[in-house]
Amino acid sequence: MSPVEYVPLIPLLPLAAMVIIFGVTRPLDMAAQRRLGLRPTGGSGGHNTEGTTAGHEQAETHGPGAAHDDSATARRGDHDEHDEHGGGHGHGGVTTTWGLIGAWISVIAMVGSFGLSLAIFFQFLSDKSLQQNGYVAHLWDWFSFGPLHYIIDFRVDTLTVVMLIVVTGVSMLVHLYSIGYMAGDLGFSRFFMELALFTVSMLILVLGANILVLFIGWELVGLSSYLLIGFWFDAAPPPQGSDLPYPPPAALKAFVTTRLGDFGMMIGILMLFLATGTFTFTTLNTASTYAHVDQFTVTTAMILIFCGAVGKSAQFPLHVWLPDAMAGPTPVSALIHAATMVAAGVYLVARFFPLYHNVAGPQSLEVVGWIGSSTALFAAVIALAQNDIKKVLAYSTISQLGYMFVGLAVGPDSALGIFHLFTHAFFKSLLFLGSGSVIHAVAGNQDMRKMGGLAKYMPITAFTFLVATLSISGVPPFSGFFSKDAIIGVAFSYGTAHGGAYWFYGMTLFTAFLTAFYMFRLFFMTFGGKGGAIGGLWGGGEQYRGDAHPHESPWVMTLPLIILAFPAALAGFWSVGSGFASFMTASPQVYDNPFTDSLTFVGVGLSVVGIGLAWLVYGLEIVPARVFTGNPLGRAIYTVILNKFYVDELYGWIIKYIALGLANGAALFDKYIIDGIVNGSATSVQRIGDATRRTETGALQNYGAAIFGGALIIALAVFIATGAFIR
Amino acid sequence: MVTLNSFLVLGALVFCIGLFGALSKRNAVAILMSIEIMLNAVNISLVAYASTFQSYAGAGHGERLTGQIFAIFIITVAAAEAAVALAMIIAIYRRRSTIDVGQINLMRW
Amino acid sequence: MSIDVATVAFYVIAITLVGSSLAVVLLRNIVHAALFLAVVFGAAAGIYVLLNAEFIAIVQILIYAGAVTILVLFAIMLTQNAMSQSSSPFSGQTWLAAIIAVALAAGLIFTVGASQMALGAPNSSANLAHAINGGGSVARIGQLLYSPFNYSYVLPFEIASVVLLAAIIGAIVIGRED
Repeated sequence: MSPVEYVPLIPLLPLAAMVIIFGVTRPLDMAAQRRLGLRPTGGSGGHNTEGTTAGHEQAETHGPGAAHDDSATARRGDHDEHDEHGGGHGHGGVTTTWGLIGAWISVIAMVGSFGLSLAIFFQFLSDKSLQQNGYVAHLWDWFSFGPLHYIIDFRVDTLTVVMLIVVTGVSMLVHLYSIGYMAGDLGFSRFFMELALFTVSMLILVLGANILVLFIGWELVGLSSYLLIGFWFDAAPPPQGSDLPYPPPAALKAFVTTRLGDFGMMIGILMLFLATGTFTFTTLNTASTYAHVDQFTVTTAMILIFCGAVGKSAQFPLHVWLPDAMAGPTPVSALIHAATMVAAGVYLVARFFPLYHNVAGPQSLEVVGWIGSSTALFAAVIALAQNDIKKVLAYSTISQLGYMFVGLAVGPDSALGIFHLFTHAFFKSLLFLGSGSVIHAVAGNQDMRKMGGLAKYMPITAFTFLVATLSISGVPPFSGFFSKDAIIGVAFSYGTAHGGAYWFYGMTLFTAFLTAFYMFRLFFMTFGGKGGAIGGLWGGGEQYRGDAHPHESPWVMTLPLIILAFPAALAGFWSVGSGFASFMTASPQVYDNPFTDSLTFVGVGLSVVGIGLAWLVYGLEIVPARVFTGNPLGRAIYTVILNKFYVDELYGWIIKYIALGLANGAALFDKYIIDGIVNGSATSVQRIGDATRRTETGALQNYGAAIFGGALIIALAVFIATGAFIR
Repeated sequence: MVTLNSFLVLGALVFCIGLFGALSKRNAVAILMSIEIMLNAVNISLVAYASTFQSYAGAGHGERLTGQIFAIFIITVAAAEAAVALAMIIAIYRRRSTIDVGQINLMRW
Repeated sequence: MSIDVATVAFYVIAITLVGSSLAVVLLRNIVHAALFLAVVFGAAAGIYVLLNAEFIAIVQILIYAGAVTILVLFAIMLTQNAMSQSSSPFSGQTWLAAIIAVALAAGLIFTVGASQMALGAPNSSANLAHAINGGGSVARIGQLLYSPFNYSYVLPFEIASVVLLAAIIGAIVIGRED
């Protein structure tokens, strides 16, 4: 048996871990917590204290005694070495043995999944026919309606393999990392359960052989995302008017906003189904399927399906949920909101790439390109002014996802965008995990203005973070350089091919400059500062502006950082010699070697300029930031950017005045028209009854008059009907 | 020449006069009297029919007297009705001190 | 147009009948109305005589002009102060009643005129001869009512007697002072 035949095991392993946690270790964990008095014994719900005692980063940022609970946790004993660092979140709790057992079970399951994915990957590498044809694992027939068969199939092809590596790899590392990060949280077991649920859902999404399976996974990841963003669902609300995240509404916002896109996606899917009668990707992606289908229909359907990708991948105008989603625990941000789930939109477009590229009209990919490039630029601009470390990374994610869409829009195949997805998954999850490590170290603070000089406290985190920052900034030879510069380069040739329309090229190029600037701003503000080693890059205690006691994270957290640093630095070399593109398309592709193309160095040069500018402003502090924000114009621009172009306010206004207005109108319609008809029929019956009741006078003479009057009327009718008057 | 029509028209006129009285009078006794007039009008019509068809050839001996028999039964029932109705009027009068049908409306809504 | 006694008699009696009927319903004084009711009954008896229904005529006078009129007068006497004398004897729907009555009369007369059965004269001489020969209609009616054989009304007659009995008992029970 070859590894690929075991592919159903990949989602089954985390599923099994989830079931075990749900059925065995979590109940035992909760029972142990009750014995320790961490959880009220009455009532099975028991979550009401979770957020308040166990905590949550923002709510306890400034709380006295929140910074270090080491003495308290140490006294409770019976736990491993993580808890000596556990004060970072003010958890103040204890990870019970059962919680740890469950966590390690899920880590082991993820190692198994990742190992199997790697094995399949190597099998694909060596087997050309597998690359070309893929492998279909038939699971079961769901149901049939006459000629329509709904089947649950997994299909493994090159795109899926790449996604499998990303999902299982990052998920495995995030699981490991979370053991350290979530230590002491009362919801420790629940966290791992939901993390496993997410992983299963994401694997179903990428493994599905038809849209139905994909859609099941698509909605399940939305659900897991909702659950995990709202993990601290009972957190205390932040004070009025503050910018601090608040999980419950953030979770709801993420769910509802993506649902907006999903609505369009469903319509698109149904349009395709009505046109072709099939859900299967391989059939849908064949041009001959559309021999009798209007191209306009396909174009419309593809744009509608892209709506789903816009929602899921947080593209403008549905990007608003992703920055708020940072209210969830940081490992969740790393896994779901940086590496995997938000990339599902890119995956969706890539999955339908032949349809977009060959069957639908050029408008569909142009829409993808415009949304992607404008979002990339837009989000990068917002990221310039954010002070919350996770918010910067969130907008950076949105921006990079925009790059991926541009890559899909301009590329001759889906390899460009997917390769950026591939490299981005590593360096962005590394960035998030690194930021989590930082937040962990500074007692839950997320404000970069209260950081600085952390490099000497936590060198591993700082070094791996620097690798990822260089990668995302597009500095050769880090992976981001290969994937991003390929997109910028192809955008240029796309512009040349389309009569000098260099919009995509210009926007992505400028975004590259902004990316380098804001990422190094982030790095300097967090790890460096004026007076630090290497020109402010490597700061120390004198640069630290906060009041916590920074420290390096435990090994379960730093190990994933170290592991991720390797692909973040080196994964780009896979594309050299067209390796990745040839793998993806199962046919030899030749791209320009980025090192020989002079255009490449325009992008690199701009990135270096951006890095240098950030260095001047935030590292050496030769140029004060006031140069930009001191004058009235700069001040105004800064305010607009700081407030994210007021998109949230605009949506709030739209919802408050337009949507609610329409809803109120509908409510009034319901109240006065619909209910009016119903109640009116009842009251009219009553009124008629009331009126006709008066005829019952109880006076016999009235009845007699009615009898004879009625007889007369009948007689008259008979006379008229029989024509008696005429005769 | 007096034909059947003359009797029928007479019966109709008297019936309608009685009807008017029955529908418009307030005194219960007057209403009863009006009803008696209506019954008489009907009897006139029945007897007129009976006499008319008695004369047709082929009619058996007296079989066509059915109309008169009807009239007899009507008179019988009318007498009974008058007795009961007047008894009721007296009973109502004794209880309510009035025989104004406008005020006797217990079945009013 | 020949004018015979029967025709003259008919019109005289008919006018009396209609006029006294109108008097019954229109007179304010209920006692006068009751007296005109006796005239109505008598005139009706005359009509019956014209129709060769002498038995009916006799019964009419016996029961109606005799018994019912007396009964009505007794009732009037017993309920003497029941109606306030000042108020109108007519109720609020007098005009409606008048319209209905006139319309019904018009409809009935129209129907009678249009009827195909309005043939022949009721009181032809052949009829009279037949009546005399057969012992008059009284004998025939007696046979029809009492004959135990076929084609008689003996059973309805017995039932009518039960009805009368019930009416008598009912009238006594209802009218009794309790």
